[in-house]
This record gives sequence, C-alpha cells and structure tokens, in this order.
Amino acid sequence: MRRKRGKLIPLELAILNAGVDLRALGTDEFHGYLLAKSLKEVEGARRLVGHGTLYKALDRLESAGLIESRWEDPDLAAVDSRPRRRLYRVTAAGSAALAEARRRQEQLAQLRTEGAPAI
Amino acid sequence: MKGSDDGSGARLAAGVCLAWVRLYTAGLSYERRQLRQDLIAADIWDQSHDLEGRSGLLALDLLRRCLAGAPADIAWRMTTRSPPRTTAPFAWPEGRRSEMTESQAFVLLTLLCGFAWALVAVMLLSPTAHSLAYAGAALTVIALAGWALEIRVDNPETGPSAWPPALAAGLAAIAAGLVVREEYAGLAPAVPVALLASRAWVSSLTASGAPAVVGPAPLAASELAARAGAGAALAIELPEGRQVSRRSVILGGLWLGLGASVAAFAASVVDYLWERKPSVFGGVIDAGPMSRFPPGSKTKVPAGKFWLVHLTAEQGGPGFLALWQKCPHLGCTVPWEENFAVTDPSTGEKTKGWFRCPCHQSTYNHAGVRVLGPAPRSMDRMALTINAETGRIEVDTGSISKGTPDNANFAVRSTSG
Repeated sequence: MRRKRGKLIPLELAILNAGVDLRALGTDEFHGYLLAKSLKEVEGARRLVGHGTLYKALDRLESAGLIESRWEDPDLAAVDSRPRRRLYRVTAAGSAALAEARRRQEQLAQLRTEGAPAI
Repeated sequence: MKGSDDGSGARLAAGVCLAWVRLYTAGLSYERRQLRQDLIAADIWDQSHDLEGRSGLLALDLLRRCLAGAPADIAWRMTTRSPPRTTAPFAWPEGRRSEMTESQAFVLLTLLCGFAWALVAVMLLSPTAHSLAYAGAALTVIALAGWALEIRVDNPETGPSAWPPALAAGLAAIAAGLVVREEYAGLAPAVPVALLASRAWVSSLTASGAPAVVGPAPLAASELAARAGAGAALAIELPEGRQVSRRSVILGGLWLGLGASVAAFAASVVDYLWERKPSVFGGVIDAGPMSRFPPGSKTKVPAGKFWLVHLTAEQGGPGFLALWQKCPHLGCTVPWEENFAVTDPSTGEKTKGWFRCPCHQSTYNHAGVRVLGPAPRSMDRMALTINAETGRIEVDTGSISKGTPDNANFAVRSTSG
C-alpha cells in the first residue's frame, strides 16, 4: 500500500522524537544503533528494531529532508578500529514536522476527551 | 552466561547479517553497496560492544534484527534504482576483435585445444557407432565458442576467421553422422580440428613479443588459493606480458560450458531418436566365431542367458544348439554338471555329464533333452544361425521354441560337418 506523501508513520515520528530528545540531552548527532536503543527505551519495547526497518525509515526521512546525515570522520573510527558510523541529526524541518504532528495528536486527544463538537 | 562463550556465535551471526546485505544490494553500484554494508557493519559493531560478554544473546538478537528487517530491506531495494548499464551484457564479435589481446587469445586457444584433444581421446577410448555425429556436435560447439570469442587461426589482426568454416564442417559432420555409423568416423573431423587448434596454439605461443619458451613455472594451485584468500585479485600467472584477466577466463569458461551442455543435450536427443537393434537379451546375440566352440563343448553365454552346445556325432550332432538356461519346470538356472553321473534311461548305461537343475533335479542330456525329474519338457531352444560370411554364431534370444520330449536330432548342422 502506498503511503500518503508527507504522512509520517509511527516509527518515523518516534525516530524524530528520539532524535530531538537526544539533542536535548546533549547528543546532537546519533548513529543507527544508538537510535535503535533509545527507541527501545522510549517505546518501552522489549526488542531492538530490525536493521532493515530502521535504515529504511531513516532513508525515507532523509529524502523528505527531515533528517540529514554524514559519515563520521574515518580517522575517529580507525582509532577504535571499528567500522565508520553514519551520523544522523534532525533538521529544522524535522523538528517542525514533529511539532506539527504532536500538535495534531494533542488536538485529537482533546477531541476525544471533550467529545465531538455539537453541530 | 557460561564462561565458555567465545563470541564465535556472534561472529557467525554478524557474517550472516552482512551476507544478507550483500545479497539484497546485488546489482547496485559498488559505492552504494559499500555504503550499505558500512552502515550495517557499524550498527552490528556498536551493538556487540554494547552487549559485550553476552554474545550468545547478541548472536540471536542480531539474527532476529536481520530477519525482522528483511521485508523492509527488500522494499528499500525495490525502490532503489540500479545503476544504468554502461555496456551491453554481450557484445557480438565485431566489437571484440580489437579487444582480444594476444594473451587472452592464448588462454582461450589453450582451452579450445584441450577440449578438441580431449574429444579425440574420448573417441579413441570409448568408440561408439554414433561417433561422427558426436564429433560433429562437439565441433559445432568448438566453432561457436571460438567464433563468439573470435580467435583467429593465422593472425589475430588480419587473418580470416576460421570459425564459420569450422561451424559448417561441424553441422555437416552431424548430418553425415546420421547416415554413417562407423566407430572411428568421428576422428575424421575431430583430429583435423585438434591439429588446427594446436597449430594456432603454437603460433600464439611463439607470437611476436612473447617468449617461445615458457618462462617461470606456473604457480601452484595452493599458492593461488592462498593469494586469493589473502584478498589479492586472482590472476592466472603466465610469463611476462601474458597476464590474463579473470574476466576473459570466466567468459571463455562460460561459453565453453554453455556450449558443452547444449551439445550434450543435443547429443542425448540424437541418441534417443537413433534406431538401434537390441544386442541384449531379447535381441540377436553374437556368440562369437564357430571355432570358439569345439565339438562336445558347452559354453555359457551370460548375455543371452543360454548354453551354446556343440554336439558331437554320438551326442546327436554334429551341430550347434542354443539352450535357454531357464529350467522349464520352475525357472531355475540350469548348470552343466560335468561330473554328475546317472543312468541314461534310454540306453541303460551310466554316463557322466548332464544338465541338471539344482532346484528339483530335473536332468537333461547334452542336447537338453529331459531324461529325469519333474520338468514337463526338454530345455527350450533359441533360434541359432551360423553366418555363412563371417562364420559367427548368432542367436536370436527373442525367438524361443519350447522343448518337447524329443530326441536329440534337432541340432543345427554345422557346414564344417
């Protein structure tokens, strides 16, 4: 099924959410595994998200311009003798999209608690 | 966790994850594949260092994450475009002529040459009546492969292409093979081709700029394997100036293999359609020349399941008989018992040498005539002819006449008397 353009699925929202939270905690950029771990904590999930699911969502967010990414400095990786990481950060557009989504959710929640307005 | 956890499970799981990445990125550009692999490799590294000391858990979780993400991987792959092809997958000879280097031609000629001589060897070692058709099929394959690779016999630059005539000869040989059934006829096209290929091979070996004598010894297979294992690009080692690309070797192998399988298939079809006379039980069996069976002899011919009996005058001959070895009583195989003695009821004399069934002791004389036992009749006979031209005995195992309580005078008279 094709998704509506611009519509974010829960996982993508959760990624943006986690990214903004991480920034608030002082981590401006995050890599895939860090993200998977914080998603697990935020969602209270028992398991880490699958590789394919995670990176596909990241790909989609990036092509929508909501996050941006770069390869980390290979020298840095070489010091730890580990593979280089891809570092992601939430863009301004990403923050805005998240805020917009949150606003809508709040509206929806409000409607639910207050009941539908009388016509 | 147990202390014996050495992380080998996690390494294996990581290998599986990365193998899966290589699989679903197949066909993408090198760079893109590499990036994707780096992405996943970094993730795995991070996770494994996060969960250090619990590698059993890690292995399972890696596999689970890989599996859980697989549908998304496939979806990602389907929306990610493969790079446009820069070259057509196959180029027909015109474009290849200038591409083919001397060294490539050398290796490919070596392959073709070896194939041709192997063909000759096979034909000499196991001759078949269809040899000409088989040789034609093989020749066709060689010609097609050679044409596709466009190796010229005389001069790689200017010589005429040798392959169209070779192809025609191959097809002609197949056609001729349908008519001519001669065991060694296939050598007629095969040997010239092998010689021609050898000549081309030698001239390629001594071509300008290349040493006539092969220089350093070729590397041992183990050394090549070690180098490949060490990550070095695998190149077949040849004297200087004769480096051959892996691509051309693989391509040559591909064409030869493809051709050989097509030819094998075609040959099996031809073989299947070939009319043949059965030379096994049920058909006519050539028992051999008359001289192989001296008077008085009983010779078992296992292929025809019969005893070839040469009767002497006092046994009811002279003449030949083919007695089916199957006892008419209950079908046991009847042996000739040289030392068994019993009284012949017809003469009242005790004589040695009888056909005697081991199952129920039915006993038959030299000519297979029943004398004792439960058998309902004498041994069955097969139609026997003596070929007047060759002097060979031919027995039609499909033409069996039932034995009767008969006398022994039904032997086929031999002309030699």
